[in-house]
Amino acid sequence: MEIVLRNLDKNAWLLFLALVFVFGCGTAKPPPYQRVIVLTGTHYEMGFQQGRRFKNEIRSLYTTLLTSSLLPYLNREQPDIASVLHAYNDPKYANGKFSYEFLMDSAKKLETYIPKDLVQEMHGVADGADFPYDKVLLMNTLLDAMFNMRALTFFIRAMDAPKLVRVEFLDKNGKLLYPDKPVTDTKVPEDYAPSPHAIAVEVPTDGAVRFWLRDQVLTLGKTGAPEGVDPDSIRLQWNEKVLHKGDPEIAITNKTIGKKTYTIVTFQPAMAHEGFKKAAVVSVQVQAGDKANVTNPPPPHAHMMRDERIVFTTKGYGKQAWEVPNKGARDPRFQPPSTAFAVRGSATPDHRIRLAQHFAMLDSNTLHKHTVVFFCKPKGEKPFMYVGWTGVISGFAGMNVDGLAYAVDMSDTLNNGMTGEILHNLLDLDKAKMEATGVPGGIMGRVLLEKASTVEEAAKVLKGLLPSFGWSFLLADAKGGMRVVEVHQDILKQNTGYSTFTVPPKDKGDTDQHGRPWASVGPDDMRIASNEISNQNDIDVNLFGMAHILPQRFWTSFYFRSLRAFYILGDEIRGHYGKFDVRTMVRVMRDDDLVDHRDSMNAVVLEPQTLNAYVASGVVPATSGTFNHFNLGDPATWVLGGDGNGIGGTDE
Amino acid sequence: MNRRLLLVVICLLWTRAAFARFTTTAPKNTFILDNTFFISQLTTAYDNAGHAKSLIDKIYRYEPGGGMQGIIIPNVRVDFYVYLMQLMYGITDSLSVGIGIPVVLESSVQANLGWVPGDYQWALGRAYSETDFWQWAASMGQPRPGNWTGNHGVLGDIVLGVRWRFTDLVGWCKKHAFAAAFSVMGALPTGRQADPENILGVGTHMWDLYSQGELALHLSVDKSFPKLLDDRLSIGVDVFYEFFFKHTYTTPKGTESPLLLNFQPYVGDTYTIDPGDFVGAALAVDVVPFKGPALGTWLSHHDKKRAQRLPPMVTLTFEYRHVHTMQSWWHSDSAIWDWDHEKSWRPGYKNILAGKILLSLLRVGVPVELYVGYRNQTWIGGKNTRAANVVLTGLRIPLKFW
Repeated sequence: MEIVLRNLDKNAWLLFLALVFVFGCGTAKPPPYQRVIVLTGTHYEMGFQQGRRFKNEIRSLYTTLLTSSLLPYLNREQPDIASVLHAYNDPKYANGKFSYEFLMDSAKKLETYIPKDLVQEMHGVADGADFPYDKVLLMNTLLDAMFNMRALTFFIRAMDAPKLVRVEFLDKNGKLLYPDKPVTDTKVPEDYAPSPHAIAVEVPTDGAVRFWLRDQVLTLGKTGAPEGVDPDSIRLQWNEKVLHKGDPEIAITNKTIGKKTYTIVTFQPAMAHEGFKKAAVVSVQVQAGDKANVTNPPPPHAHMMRDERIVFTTKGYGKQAWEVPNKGARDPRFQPPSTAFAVRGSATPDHRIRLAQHFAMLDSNTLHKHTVVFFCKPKGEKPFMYVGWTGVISGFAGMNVDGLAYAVDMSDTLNNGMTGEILHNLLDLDKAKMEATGVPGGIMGRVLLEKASTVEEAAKVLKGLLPSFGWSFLLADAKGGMRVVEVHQDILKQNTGYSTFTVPPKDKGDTDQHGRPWASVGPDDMRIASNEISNQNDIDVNLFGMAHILPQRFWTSFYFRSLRAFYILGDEIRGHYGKFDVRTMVRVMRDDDLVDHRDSMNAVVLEPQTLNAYVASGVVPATSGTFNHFNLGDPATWVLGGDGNGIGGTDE
Repeated sequence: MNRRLLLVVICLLWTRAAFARFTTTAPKNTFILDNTFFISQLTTAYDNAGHAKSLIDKIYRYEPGGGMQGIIIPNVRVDFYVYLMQLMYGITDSLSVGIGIPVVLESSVQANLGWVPGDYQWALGRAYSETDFWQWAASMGQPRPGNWTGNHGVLGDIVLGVRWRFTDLVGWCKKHAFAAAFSVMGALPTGRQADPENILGVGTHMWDLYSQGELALHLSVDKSFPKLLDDRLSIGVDVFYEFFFKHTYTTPKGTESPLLLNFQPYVGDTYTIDPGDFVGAALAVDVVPFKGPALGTWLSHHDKKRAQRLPPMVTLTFEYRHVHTMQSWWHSDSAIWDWDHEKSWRPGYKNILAGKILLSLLRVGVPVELYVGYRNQTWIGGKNTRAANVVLTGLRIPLKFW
């Protein structure tokens, strides 16, 4: 019997070997897109370790994001930019090198604002990866230079496009209800301003809204007359219903008053026998293009204005305008931007403080394949962790061992270094260049992790840094402190570059003019999106009639979608108050109205008191992935996939 | 021995081989020259879930920071026109050697790029149309890939083979019309690699044709029923293992497609592909619907009885072949890039149905066999494989020189 068994064993082994031979060659598995690395020693050594470990991924990220995508993309802008800023006609920028040299100019300027030890860390990355330092520098300053440039580009484009200059509300007989100042035979009061709240209340259900559009032309360095609004391009979105020319609810006319020609879009649902719903909040978006055919850069297009969104209430709703948020309706054309929120005390079942962020900006089918969770133990400094990308020495969320956690979201502004450079050389555009200055946003986060232990210390550190752009920081610490800090560069030295608020309100700056906390629905929560919250007039300067540099709400395409995300997040926080454990925070971040399905980059939940970090990255959207659990105080968890106690992805 | 007699001998020997398709050997000192012309058309691949898809995955294109521009749908069609000359020589009646020389007469790749618009681009006032996208791409230096035609008269991998029908040694097998053979085939790397910079170019190696491994081991059994069914039915089974070997390729640098083929900085100057081996089995049935007249011609020495031993005039062959394909591995400096390729070449299988009609003119005194056939891989789906459908026609001639 024993012999039989032994033979069976032998046969089984042979069969097994045969199967291994035939079928056992394995199946390919995706490489980990969320890597984990532990860096120790001096900053240079930490950089070197990163460079050596991610030698290939650094090249991959640079090639796929820059060489094959951003650099050729930006090269297309050279003719337009060089037509105004003649320095870019220099041979240095010729032969397809415009974008690289353009970004490198900014990178070199930004480098001078980066702390020396972090510059050494970038050198370490370059040496470890055997990759040119300039390219590492470019990767670490890219977003800041891009944001500066994009802000200017958006603004310049807006100056060439139709503009919503006035919104009127009329009763069914055409009597003006709002605003107070009427149009005369000689002048149209151009008094429309984008608002985070309703702009009119108690509008009759059979009333009308009249949009006054005026086409513009950018005079800076160019000549010409406005082409005029193209009526076929006009798009209205009434709540979720889309209307175009020819729909019975709208009428389009042109009118010249003084020397200006206006296109007037009268929107009156009653014309289609509907009317506005009674006692309701109504959202209307309007967009239009002009009759231009811009062929460079391709594809051919008109000058398009961004979607402007107004909100008003109808009779019976009963609230003041400032009580009605400009949340708008779902518009599938747009993705929500980055958001972050913090909760504690009465907002959580265990009274612990937690901070969550979903960062979304630029993926291009590339960045999510290069994410890293960094654990750093710099020599002589406190350990910390942050979420970033291969070759990059900073991230947009992180936490240190003292329990200070931060999340930072971009907040568009023209109060940035690039605008400052242009203003400085305004009278000699041959010299003017678009060069970013200041400390990059991610690097500001790195500095916080190394220098601060509490939100109050962090706020002070931020106040001492010159930001490269507009950034909104949400801070939380182990003592339960939470605070929002909004920064921009303050290029006009008007002392507007730094504002901060907390909850519960302690001083006047912590509330709006109606005494409400800026970004809280209760005593123990704060939130940010990608718009200025307390500092809504980041810049406002008229350049001798050539151009009027306006606050972000007037021009950035992020503004209305950010407002919407901000208010929806507020609703979510209100709806889950007292229940915010980690799972609930993740669930809120996965709300489809808050998820950017295109450019999501990473999502985190940080617990400053326990040093737990839940990190989702490596997929798009990041929030659909597993939130892997790490603990900053427990090096045993600093491994690929964390300790396995994370929160599963949406497909698990 | 005069030439006519030689042919008679050949044809008499041939009768044994006519049915036994998997175990066919050439009679001793005889050549069998087989000339086949293939038209292979490839439009479909199967994904990891076994769903049919286009040969190239959809390409999602993104505007930097502006969401998705749209989806390029490459409804690629690849056509191969191949001439294959096979020559088998009988060392003994049971042992043959052969050579197969494939010549690609032409390969063509039609991109047939479709487009699904992506996100609304507010700066354009619309989502990218297909025209918009390719204008945008052109402004970035990336031309729209056009159709490609090439490989005119290019040699493929030459195959050498040997087959031993070992059951000839066993009287019982002969008596019961069983035949079993062991075959080994090996490919010489005489084909051509595709131009790495050409996004649609294809090569002529075995790996490019993906129909047979570079070293193939086959064990085959045939059974005919000479008495029971008047010799009108034969069944064959073939089991096989086919190896592919690792090959090194030059990484494109994007000289022609700077946006789509710019891999060299992170992939390295070269990369290797270690294609997954094939293992599988085939079942074939030969049916004779029409034996035809047996004329006493010069081939049968004017002997009708001898002529009756020649192959029937019409033979139909039906075959089902299941091929398990193993994981193909890419090895480069970039694990990300490797996976981007490997995920389409995970272990899978292909199901091949084939039919052939063979017209033999030996019984009427013409030493030629003609055949047409069709091989299909899409009637029964597969997994992680490309499914080529093939039409073929050929002509087989026995030759003897001594």
